[in-house]
Amino acid sequence: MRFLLKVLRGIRRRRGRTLKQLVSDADYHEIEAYIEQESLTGKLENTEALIKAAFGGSPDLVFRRMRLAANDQIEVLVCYIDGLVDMHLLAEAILGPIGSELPFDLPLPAAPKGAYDLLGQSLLHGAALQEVDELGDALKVLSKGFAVVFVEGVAQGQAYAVQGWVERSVEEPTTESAVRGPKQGFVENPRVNTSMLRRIIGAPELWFEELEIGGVTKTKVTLAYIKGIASNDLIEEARRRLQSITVDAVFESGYIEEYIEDAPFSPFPTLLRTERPDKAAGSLLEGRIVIITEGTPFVLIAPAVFASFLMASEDYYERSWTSSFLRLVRIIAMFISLTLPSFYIAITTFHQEMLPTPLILSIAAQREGVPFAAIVEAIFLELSFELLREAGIRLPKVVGPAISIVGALVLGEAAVQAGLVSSAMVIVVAFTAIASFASPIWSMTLSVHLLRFPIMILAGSLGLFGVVMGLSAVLIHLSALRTFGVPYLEPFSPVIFPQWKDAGIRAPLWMMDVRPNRKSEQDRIREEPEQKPRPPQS
Amino acid sequence: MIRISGQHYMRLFAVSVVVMLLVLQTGCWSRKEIETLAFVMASGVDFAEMPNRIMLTAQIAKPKALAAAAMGGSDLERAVWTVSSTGNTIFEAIRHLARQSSRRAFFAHSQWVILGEDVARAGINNVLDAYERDPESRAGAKLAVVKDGKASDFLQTESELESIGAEAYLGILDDASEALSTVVDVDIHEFFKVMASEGIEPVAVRVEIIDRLPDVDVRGQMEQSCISTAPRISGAAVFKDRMLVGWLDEAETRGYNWVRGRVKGSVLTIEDPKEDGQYMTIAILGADSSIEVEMKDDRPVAKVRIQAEANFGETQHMVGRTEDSNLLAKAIIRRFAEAIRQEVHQAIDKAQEEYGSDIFGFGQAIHRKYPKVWKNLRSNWNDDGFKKLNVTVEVKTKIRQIGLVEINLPESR
Repeated sequence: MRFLLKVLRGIRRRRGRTLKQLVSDADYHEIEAYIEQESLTGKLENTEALIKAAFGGSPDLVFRRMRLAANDQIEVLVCYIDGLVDMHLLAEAILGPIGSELPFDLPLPAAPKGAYDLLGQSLLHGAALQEVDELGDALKVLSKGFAVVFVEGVAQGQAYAVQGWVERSVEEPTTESAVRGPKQGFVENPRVNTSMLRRIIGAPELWFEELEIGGVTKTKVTLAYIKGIASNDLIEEARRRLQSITVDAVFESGYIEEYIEDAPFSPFPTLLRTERPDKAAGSLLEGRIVIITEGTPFVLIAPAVFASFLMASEDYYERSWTSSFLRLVRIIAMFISLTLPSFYIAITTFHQEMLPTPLILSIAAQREGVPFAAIVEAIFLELSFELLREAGIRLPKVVGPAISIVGALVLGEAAVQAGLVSSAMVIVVAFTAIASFASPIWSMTLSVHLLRFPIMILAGSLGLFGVVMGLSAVLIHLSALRTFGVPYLEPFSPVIFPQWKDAGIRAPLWMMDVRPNRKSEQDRIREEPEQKPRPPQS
Repeated sequence: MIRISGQHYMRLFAVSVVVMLLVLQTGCWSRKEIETLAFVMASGVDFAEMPNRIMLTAQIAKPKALAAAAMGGSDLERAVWTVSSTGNTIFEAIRHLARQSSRRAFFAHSQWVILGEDVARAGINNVLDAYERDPESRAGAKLAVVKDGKASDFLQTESELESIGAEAYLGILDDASEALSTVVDVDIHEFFKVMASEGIEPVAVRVEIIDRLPDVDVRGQMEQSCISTAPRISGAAVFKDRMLVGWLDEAETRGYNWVRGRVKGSVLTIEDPKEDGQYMTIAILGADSSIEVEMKDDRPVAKVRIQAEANFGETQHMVGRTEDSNLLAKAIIRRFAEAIRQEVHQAIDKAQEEYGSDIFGFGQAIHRKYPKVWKNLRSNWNDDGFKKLNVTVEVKTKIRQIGLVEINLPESR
């Protein structure tokens, strides 16, 4: 808002027109400029008019003019936005005390200022009292669900946190479900989210910093870290990046991500997002920072190296062998999802000698009569798969099954029977699709989907040479990437052997005694050594 | 903060356009869609009717027929197409296939190079160059010579089990070398390698065309099969100075394989040491061999050591854990070794006396151990040195298991 106003102030500075004129002109910039100049006068009439004008007379804005029951000379204005406040709380904490007699031992206020102080200090008991001196501040807190109390003759207001609105309750995370592990996911309310982190991490070293980003939306963004484990440089850098954002709206953590990521043009995400409090807490304990955005259950984790996109929080709950195997499966799946169609195209159109004879004959038999080149066939099928996937997400739930039936029948059966595509290609595309969904992080899945197409085109025009060129380009790009100062391919490049315990494989927990930290000032020891369970020595 | 200006965007755009054009410029160079290829499974070389012309025969797989057979359709349609073309050279003849084939003949999956006997006898010098030079041809393709026949006729033979001839030949070769070791398994790469080495001559697979007998069904009625000729693989073709000089029969081929340590498994039938006119069969599990040469009176002598292991396979006479089983076992082992020695001598004698071709590599062994001596011998090795070489054969045999059967038949009392 400050940014907006600065601009506005530069554009025009008109005075002398009345508020009414301004409202009827419906030029909000001017109203805003007017409000900016106007400070609280202590005249309830005026204040009410100003606030009303600022909100354009929106019907959800409620004004309640009352007289103090203890002294009916003193007029009070209670102002709140209907729907953002808890009515019971409002009645009990604000309206009730104003409208009832004083408790016997309090002195009777005579002057407005005295009454104002009395209200703040003794009578009203909403949480988080905040003094409002400027009209602009009042407007801000109103939209956050505060009730603001003005007293006639006092050029100040008191804001009480009596928020209460309909909210989604804590549910199982939908995008990262786990067989084993906590079933609760983050919600849209940042305060609930921070509380979830607090409940997992009991130590007071868990620090939160709150910022407000978004000139219009005024979204709360919370930076969370564990002091002493996260490096100060990282915290400083994250704070700097967050503070440098000046934008009018933040609806989702994706907005934040786009403004603070390291490589905006890279197809790879450099920030991890999660819905799982346990994953966020785990990251905090590895010395990373977590960014919680109001209004979305997805929090951001930074730095996020490539290997972390192949990890699921369940890896740490299952036993080491199985987790390591699953990670291996995910790595293979990612590779398949990136390259399988390309390899198929390259080998069947350029390197027919590479396949075993029975296999090549079988593929040749299937391609008999297919009118398209392998590359065209592949792109056609891959695109239709992407279409199906996208349609499946956007469709109303009721018609969802219909699209899958159509997709399975049309693509899997009819197209093959009609001889438009070969069944080998359908198998390849289906296998690729299955492999792509094995990745635990959706944003990485999308990146891989995206990269598949250029590599397919390279495969179709240059064969395996093209595939290798494409993969080299991807690898070169990956090695050049950084995420909050950390090389993206760490711990593989640069090689950091101790961290291999938790990258491609997942070593037993009692072996991971040191945190993957990079700065000496941090607390690196995770556990006492020699904790391998063994039968009692007798 | 770096701001990307319009100029930067222009540059980025230009670079990506250039990269895309570069990729597309190649125009899918050397791209060959799979359905535009004719997969040659085996090729054969014969002399054409016209003088100095070579006839190339290609056995080409028909994917459509294969697919139909796999779908459970009729397998009346042959899954291969055998087509011939002529040319002055093989390479030319291959290109001349294009006159008849709607698809490009693709040789990378060709598993056999088959030579007619007359071509092999005339010398393979000018025949095999095309196969060696062409990057598309497979070094792993087997090299075979048709005994008393033409390659084109052999490629017309059919097998009951496999729909593609080349696959059938491969299967036979594999099966025969595992179960009998009476064949040699030679691919082009090995053939060339041996041909290029000193003191050793190459052999090739010997194939024959046999008449297909009519089927007899369960009711004892004769059934005329549409298959008229069938392939048979056994023995070996012996080369000398890049020319076919003769053949080894099955026993001689196994003798050759004993010396070369190539016996993977076989059966050997020997006379029962106790009962005359009764036989017992021994299943050979594997063998090792080594060739040693020494100088004796300034002349090289060679010694072949063979170690063979076997299981007892079958007997026509009872063998029990009798009091003399130890003696019996010794007798069996002795006869077993004797049988091997005989086969080896047969093979060596034939190579020495009839063909004068050192297919065993005795010369190579001398070359390695006594390079100076070899210098004098090399010029006339096959016809002189090898023929006069004194070879002794030492065989060690071992029977692993005689089985748990105590007696093979209940004795009549």
